Amino acid sequence: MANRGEIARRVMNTCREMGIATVAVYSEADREAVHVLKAGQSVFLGDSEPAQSYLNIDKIIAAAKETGAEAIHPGYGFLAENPLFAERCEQEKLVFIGPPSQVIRELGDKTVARRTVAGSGVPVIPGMNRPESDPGILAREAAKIGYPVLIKAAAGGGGKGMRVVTSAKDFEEACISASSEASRAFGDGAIYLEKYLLRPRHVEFQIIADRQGHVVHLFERECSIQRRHQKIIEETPSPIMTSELRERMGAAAVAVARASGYVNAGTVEFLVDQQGNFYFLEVNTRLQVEHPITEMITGLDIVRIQLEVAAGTPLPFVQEDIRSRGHAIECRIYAEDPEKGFYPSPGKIIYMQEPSGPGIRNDSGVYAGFQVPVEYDPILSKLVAFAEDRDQAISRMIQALEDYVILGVRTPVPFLIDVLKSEAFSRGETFTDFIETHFSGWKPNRSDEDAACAAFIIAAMSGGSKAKGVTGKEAAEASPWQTLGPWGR
Amino acid sequence: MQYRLKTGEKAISFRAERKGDHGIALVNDNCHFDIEYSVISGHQLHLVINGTPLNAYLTRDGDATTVIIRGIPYSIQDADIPDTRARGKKGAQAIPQDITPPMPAVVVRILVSVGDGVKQGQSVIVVESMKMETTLSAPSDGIVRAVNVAAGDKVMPGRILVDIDRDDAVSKEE
Repeated sequence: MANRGEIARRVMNTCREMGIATVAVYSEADREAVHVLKAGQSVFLGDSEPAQSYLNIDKIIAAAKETGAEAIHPGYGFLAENPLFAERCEQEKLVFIGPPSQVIRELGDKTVARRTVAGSGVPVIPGMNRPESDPGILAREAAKIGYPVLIKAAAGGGGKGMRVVTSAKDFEEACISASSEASRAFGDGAIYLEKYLLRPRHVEFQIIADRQGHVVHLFERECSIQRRHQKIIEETPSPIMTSELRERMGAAAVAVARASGYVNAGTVEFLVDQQGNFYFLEVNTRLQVEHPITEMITGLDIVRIQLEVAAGTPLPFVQEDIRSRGHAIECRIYAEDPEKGFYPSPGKIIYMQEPSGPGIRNDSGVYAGFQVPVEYDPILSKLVAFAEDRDQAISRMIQALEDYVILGVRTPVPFLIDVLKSEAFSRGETFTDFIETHFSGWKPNRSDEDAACAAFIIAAMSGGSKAKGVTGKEAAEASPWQTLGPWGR
Repeated sequence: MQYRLKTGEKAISFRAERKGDHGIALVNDNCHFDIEYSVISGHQLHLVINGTPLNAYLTRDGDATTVIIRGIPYSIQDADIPDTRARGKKGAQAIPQDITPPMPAVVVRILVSVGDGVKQGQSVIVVESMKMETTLSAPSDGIVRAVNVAAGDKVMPGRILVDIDRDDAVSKEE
């Protein structure tokens, strides 16, 4: 398992169900990470820095060889969409659980993908079909496309190296910054431009293809609610989907998969404009962060299918066999402060209480006592609510969020609660500018302030000397171990 | 016993009186709360306030205590305890007045040099943390007096990365 955190744990869970032995890899910062604690065995890679650990192809291949692993699951991020890694696996006779390296290479270069897809007759967003590094040429292209333009990393994903530019004066610094971020994130600083569509929806289709050439889609996911171009709430079905649009977009997704020679699980992303026209955005050649919501409505285990396809088994179903039921919503729980522009908030998780109950799934990569490393993406867990219909799923998610307690790092839980409770979300008016439009400068409604003061005072009064650690009467520097003291035992 | 508390920008006072082993009354000019409580764990209290039950989760966070109720965090401080973190300034402003990283970070690029004139809001330095680049900008118009770091440096919140002499003397008096 060439990844860490919640996704490593999630993939290993399915392996365990299937009786497949697992090997985790880890860095210095992750010695006590959940994926190490859950693995059949673990191999230490090196320093916390990704280049010395989770991005280090030689070390990961060596770990696989040393433990006799037959296949490698890359998860998402890190090496998941790196064609050199997939190619190296092929050369070393290790099964890469994902598409062939050639497909990753072609689709991973967003500009090549645009050319391939345009050739198959699926509509693409106006923009450049080749990456460019010359600032003069980029500026001319931007003027030609017309502001606002979107700078994108050719090797991109996850919002890294992406910038919206509304006027020519900000263009050059935005290009430098995007390119630098892309080169750090993907080891490739190439950028290109697309027309920035106003108020689109982000709708993607899960596809899965076997080695025998069968391709199906597992319906759509709506992922319009984003901050910094990174999704934070996803749901399926999309509130705008009709069976007619689903059929056309599903067929387009399958056409993209066929045109690119796709094998294994992937995601074809589209933007849908105000008029209901859809445009191809890109293909993510990996298991998607938000795959659990598709699993909830289809009842399928996508990781299990990935493993079977990688083993050469044909898909056990055709398109008509795949049924969806109910509605699923995912909220991404990051270590970040929604009151401070979603800045990352690393630290030690002091205490945690996870929600549970019917229709609740929490794919978590952390536990109380875990130090959330600054080196990696700050995702802690993915909370999923599944119910008969959208309204019930929303109510269920709100309750689950209110029950989700994480002390020690800030999380977007209070923000997510307010989004889920909002009229705009309830009406399904989810566009990619949702947060800027409805939640700019958001602060939580702190209606329980008196109760919070009461809790503080009770802790101070009943905790005795130890409670002083928590109320601040003593010791300016509290150790992370300091708690309310011995009471309650 | 009298408590003076700070919650965000507000100050609230309560007179607290014990009522048996698991009860307390909190009173001030605006309200009266009769509270029964159970200590569930070192981080959890169950409260019944004037008949309404709720759970509160607490942890120490620097000089303050974070209390989470119904998913919402409250930062509460004893107003009688001096604030060891404030560096001579009262209350955090929405626009930071110093060029300092919001969290532990690595300097990626420095966009100005000593002697440069800068405009308020102009990008000055780029830092990265948790794979995210953040651009810090000039808090006011002024002249760059010193650049205290180099690309690649690991920096902590509070460290002033770039010193800027402000153009307007008025705000200097702050």
